[in-house]
Amino acid sequence: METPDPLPGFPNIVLWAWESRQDLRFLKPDSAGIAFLARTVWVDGDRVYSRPRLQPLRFTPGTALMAVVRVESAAHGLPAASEVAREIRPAVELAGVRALQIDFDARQSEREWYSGLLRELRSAIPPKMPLAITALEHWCEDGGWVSSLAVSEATPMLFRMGPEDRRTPDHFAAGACSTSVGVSTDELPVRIPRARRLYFFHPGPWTQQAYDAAVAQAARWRK
Amino acid sequence: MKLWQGAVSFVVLLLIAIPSGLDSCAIAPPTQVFSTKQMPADLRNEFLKGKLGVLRPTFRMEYLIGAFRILAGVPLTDTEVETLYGPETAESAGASSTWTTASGVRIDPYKQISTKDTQSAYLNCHQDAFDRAAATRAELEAKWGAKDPRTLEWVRGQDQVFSNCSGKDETIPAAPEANMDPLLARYRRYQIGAALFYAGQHRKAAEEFQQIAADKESPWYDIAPYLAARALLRAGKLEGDAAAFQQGKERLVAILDDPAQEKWYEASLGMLHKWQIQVEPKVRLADLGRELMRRKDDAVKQDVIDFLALMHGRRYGNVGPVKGTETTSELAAWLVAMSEASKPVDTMDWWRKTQKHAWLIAALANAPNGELAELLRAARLVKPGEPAYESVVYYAVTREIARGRAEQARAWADGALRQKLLRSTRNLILEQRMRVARNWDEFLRFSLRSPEPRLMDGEEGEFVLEQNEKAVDTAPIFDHDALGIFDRHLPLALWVDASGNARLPQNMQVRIAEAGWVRAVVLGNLDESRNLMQRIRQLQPESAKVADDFLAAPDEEQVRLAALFIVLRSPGLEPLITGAVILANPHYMAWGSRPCWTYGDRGTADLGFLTPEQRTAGDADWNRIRKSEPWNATHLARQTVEWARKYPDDPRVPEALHRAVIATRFRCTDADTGKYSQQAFAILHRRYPKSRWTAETPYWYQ
Repeated sequence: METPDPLPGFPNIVLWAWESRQDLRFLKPDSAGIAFLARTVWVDGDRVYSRPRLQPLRFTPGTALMAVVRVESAAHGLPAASEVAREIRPAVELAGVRALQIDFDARQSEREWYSGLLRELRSAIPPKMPLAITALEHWCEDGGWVSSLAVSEATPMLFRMGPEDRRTPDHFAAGACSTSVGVSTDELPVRIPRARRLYFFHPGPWTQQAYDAAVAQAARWRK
Repeated sequence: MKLWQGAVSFVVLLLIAIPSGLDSCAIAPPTQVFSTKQMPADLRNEFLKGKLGVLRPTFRMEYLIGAFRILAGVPLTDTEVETLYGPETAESAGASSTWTTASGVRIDPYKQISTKDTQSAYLNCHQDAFDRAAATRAELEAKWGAKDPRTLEWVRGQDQVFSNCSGKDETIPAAPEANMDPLLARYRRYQIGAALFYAGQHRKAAEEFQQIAADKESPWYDIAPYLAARALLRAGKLEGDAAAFQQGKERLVAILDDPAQEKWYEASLGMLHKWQIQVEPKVRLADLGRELMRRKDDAVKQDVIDFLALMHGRRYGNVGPVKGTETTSELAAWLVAMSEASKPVDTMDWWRKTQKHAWLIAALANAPNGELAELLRAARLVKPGEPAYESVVYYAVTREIARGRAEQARAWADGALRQKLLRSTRNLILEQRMRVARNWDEFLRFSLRSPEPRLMDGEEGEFVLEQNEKAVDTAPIFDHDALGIFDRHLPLALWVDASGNARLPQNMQVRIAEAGWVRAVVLGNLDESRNLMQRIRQLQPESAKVADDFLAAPDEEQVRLAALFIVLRSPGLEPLITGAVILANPHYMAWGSRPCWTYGDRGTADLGFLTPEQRTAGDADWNRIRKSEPWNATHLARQTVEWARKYPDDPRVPEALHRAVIATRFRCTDADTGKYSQQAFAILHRRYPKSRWTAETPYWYQ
């Protein structure tokens, strides 16, 4: 039996729109969703600060929007999760946002704190709003840790992975990791694990041409 | 999604391990830098002390500005150095202290723009506003006491003011009541103006501030005209209110004309510059071009930011690229002349009228051939050690080569190579000198370059290694130009010679021998493949077992199978010298790579040191290699399956089948790969069920 879609209403292709001027009005609302960097939160010991996206994102009304919040840790200790959740919260209040994705490359020592932050967020955001995360690939291979997180979806990022051999499996078994994968248009793997939804990262602003190429690639993988 | 971390961490590993067979989609790892293209290799110890090296059109503009100043005899002050090259102050306003309301809410200084088709934000409340409010609060607490109702009322009003910084709903403090303390009432008027300003009611805010300016008893009496002007400018910029924009400018000019408002000159001038950037960007650029040629010890940061923004043509607010930048100042003209873009600058004219070394460099790089004689005469007068010397020599050499005067180019290059040069400059001159090598010996001699120890080239351009990162090995190796000539033009006989040529260091001999061996195998030249394998054995004793197994092959077919086995075990091997030393580390696979033998189009080169016979032989080798089937996943798997079928008892076969299946997972694939992957897998599991290689092969790959 197929797993229920953790992001109902989102098309099967989602474009990550990072912090640069992005004009995605060429997207039809039913063709792709947008996961846009909405906020960056820095944590440094007891200090927490954040800022919103400063570069404009343009899109067609009705496009499925996911607010992405990037968390940067200076590795000098971690503040109370509730304070970080408070900095993240404005992202879900933006007009049209239907889901929240946290992008945090948590170190081993930060995992427990991250779990707590996600629990905090889960109770802080609207109950029906999906809470998702990006995941380093090995998190999804370890399985156990990601499975214990209070998230609807964990998207393994199959890019910028380091020097180890790529042994990406045909399918990520860990539940939250099984529904999506993230790739970058400048580093497309030959094959990808089976997944319902594909997230595409693109260095710099998206263009119609880059989007078309991503769609064509997605079709090749899904053949 | 940290786009850099992985790359930087593995810098050392990758110094020479750059696989040529990268999947075309893969991101390239950082590489060593032989000659800087974007920035000086050592800013503080060399560049800022006048050793500028070769100024290239690819240099970042901030370094070209510094170079122009140094060449003009106007070196940068410490403040300017820090402004231009110091670490970026990444602290966002959110990181700074803002304001915490009486109820404990920390004010977010950003105003969100979130509509049905746009998401964005801007910094609405700046740090100085929070600082000013904190200072006022401290003053009032000292004057009235922290618990005094007047102080508390002021705090309540200020909380409302700052709630507009990010709030969606406008919150304006109530107008002062008739019985309110007169001083508090004046503060309240100011709070109303500020609240209107942050709420986006800029016109109304300007009116409020203007009224305050008329009240000489108000503590905000003197700053109010400036604030009114600022509110009008914001109305112009954010709301497109052109009339307000013009009025704001006129009020700023009035402040600058009023000796009584001298205290607000600097702030008003700064605002006026913002207006000018919007309305008269070219005029502002001209001013900045002149300003940046003056040594300054005060804050220059905004000038530099504005100049770079206007020069780069990046959008600055709603200002597009400034046209005709080269006409705005000498600095701007020189930057345009030294840029990669089209160059509408008459560099000869500038050189003739200024006789400045900066313009000599620009003219040598750009002037038509007909003007070169005059420039080269001037170039000979530039002495080693002068800041312009290395650029002048480099462009002299390149221009002489470009117009076919190889002997003169050699003379320039050989003269420079006798001098103490920056490492990058030496490499650039060596590169040019190699192009005009008279013979094979010269070619090898000038092909070796020593990389910059602390600079790498990555996804986002050149970067300096951190203090705690290991320096790049500076042992001389080939740069891409020599590698390209080997791969495309040299006949196998010269590969064999190079693999034992004392002109080259041993590490290069090994690389040549390994790639040459693959080349010999692919070309079917078994004698040379044996010679090269023997050379590998001499140079690299740890490869003795591999070499001996290959050399023991009794006939042509066994030689071919032995070669296949080696290539299966060593994914980095290919007939091009672009990889690391492979056989000593056979299972190494480069970061993010998918080993792929590909032979792109490579142009011809005028290599005067080759005999006609060598050129013909080199072309023939290259053409045969290009026509041969690349040893990618399908080739390897198919050959291995045939081997297994023909020699099932060969003890190497189980391992070969396993590696063939792995190759179909990790190497370059095509439509037939899956078929052979499945066949290799099936043979392995059917015929060798107890082999450890079978146990290690749980899947085949489509």
